[in-house]
Amino acid sequence: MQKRVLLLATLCLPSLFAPSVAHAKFWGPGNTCFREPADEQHHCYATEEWILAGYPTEYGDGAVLFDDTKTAEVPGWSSGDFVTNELWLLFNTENYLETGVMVGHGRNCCTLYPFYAYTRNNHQEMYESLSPAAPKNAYDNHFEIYDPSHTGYWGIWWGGNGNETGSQVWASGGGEYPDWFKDLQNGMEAGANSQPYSWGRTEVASVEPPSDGWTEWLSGYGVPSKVSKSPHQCVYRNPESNHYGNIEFSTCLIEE
Amino acid sequence: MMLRLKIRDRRAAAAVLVLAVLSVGFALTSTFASATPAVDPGELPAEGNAETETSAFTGPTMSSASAVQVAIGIATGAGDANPTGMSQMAGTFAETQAVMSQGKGGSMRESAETAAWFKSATYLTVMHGHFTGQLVAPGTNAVEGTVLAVITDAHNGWIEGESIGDTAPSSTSLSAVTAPAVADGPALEAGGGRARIAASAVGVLAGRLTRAGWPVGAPRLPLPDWQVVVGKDGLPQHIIAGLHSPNVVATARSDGNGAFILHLRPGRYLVAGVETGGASAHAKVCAPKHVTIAAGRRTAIEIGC
Repeated sequence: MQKRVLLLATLCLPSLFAPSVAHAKFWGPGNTCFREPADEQHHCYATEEWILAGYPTEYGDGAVLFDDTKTAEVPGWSSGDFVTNELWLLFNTENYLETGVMVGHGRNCCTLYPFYAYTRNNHQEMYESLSPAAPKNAYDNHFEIYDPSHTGYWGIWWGGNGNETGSQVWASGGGEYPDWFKDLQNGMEAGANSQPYSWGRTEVASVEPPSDGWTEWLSGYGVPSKVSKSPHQCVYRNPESNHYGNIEFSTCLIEE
Repeated sequence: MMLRLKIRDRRAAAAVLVLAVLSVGFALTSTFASATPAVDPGELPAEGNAETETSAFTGPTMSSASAVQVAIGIATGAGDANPTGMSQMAGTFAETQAVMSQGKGGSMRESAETAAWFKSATYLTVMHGHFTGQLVAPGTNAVEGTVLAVITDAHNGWIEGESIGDTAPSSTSLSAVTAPAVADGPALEAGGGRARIAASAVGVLAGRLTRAGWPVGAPRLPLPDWQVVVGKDGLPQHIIAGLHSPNVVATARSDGNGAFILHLRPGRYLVAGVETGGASAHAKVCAPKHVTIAAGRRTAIEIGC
């Protein structure tokens, strides 16, 4: 594991020199990573995903993310490039809720700003809010998506420690979303035409009934979460806490 | 004991070496940054940076027209540079966010942490066209819609909210607005004779032409006095090399550092570097690159030859 961490650190070292690197148009293997058109084939990801069997056999009612972004630099920020490090919570419909931090997006190169977004109406509408204030400290990089009522009233909290602590920034209406999620993902999304540089670590947990206790992303049937990434992005188990779901991610273009 | 000391010495030496490398790296970074072509700050809305992030809540506010231009820049990034049926309202973030979301899906909650944000001055600009959302959860499709709503911080132009769908927000506070006029014709060439019309309605392309240094690994070298040719998106390389093509919308010449600046209307372009006198079939042409220009924004590009 130490060798792997050392390798990752070495590969990410060039990120310190990011501004001295050309603002190359498009990046990634075969220049396949770019911002527009925005779709899964062109944005690049380094994530972990856990798919549950779904209600009524296996399901959850929340998730938490502790984001520890170590480096974030988006050279193309002024043209709209962005990187997010975040948590996605997907339902058995196409709708989803997401929250985390965003870098770039016309603001500046390197500051992390909390955001959330959601889709509704069978994924026909999307709403996004991006805070103008950066978190005061690392503790504020804590995010929670949770339905404490188990009746489809979901909320998003920033800066707490789970269990509805911190600031609730959003609350869903009733009937908008199912009572239970069936898919969790966390990690990095890069929508950028120029090579961004970001690496960090996440710690996550699934919130599951009836006690709403926190569990790692490991199914009761023994099915664990799995890393998922675009070609040549980097994602490993978080060496600081190697539970399922916790990852170390990077935009470093590792040779495979 | 001797062996341990040696190991510690090696580690110390390695640490010093790493620090030295980092120092050189930061020095190079600073040098490059200072060499980046400058843009007259008066031409653009204030750009955010880490030092000014709190300006989101205070200071003078931008005009309605500037907010429209910022919104058009977002529309361009969402796939439609020419939105129609635009309307706008001014208000606190709490007010504009409420109109944008119309309570659909849910609503924002105010807390001690977000109180200043909710009270800050914003614009909500609603546009019609064909748009694609920028956030895409893995395994899903990007949301597409005919209505794009953008909340802009009135102090610095930052985007604080966006929505995409097929139903426009409804509010008596929304009034019709139009995009500030942009003169027809080619883009403004850096230092050119055309007046700097509607600077906020164009974007800035700041670029640099370079070639590989020698030996391998050496810094890239600038290409001064080369022709920069901007063509319509999709233009073949052999066409863009012909400087008189009607598809060429702007040209510039690189300076002593290989740098150039062009003011372009929002849109997607192909940019190439051509050796001076390059209308001939034997002229060297750098591999063209695509670039998307957004109104009121600066886009950097480096073209390697």
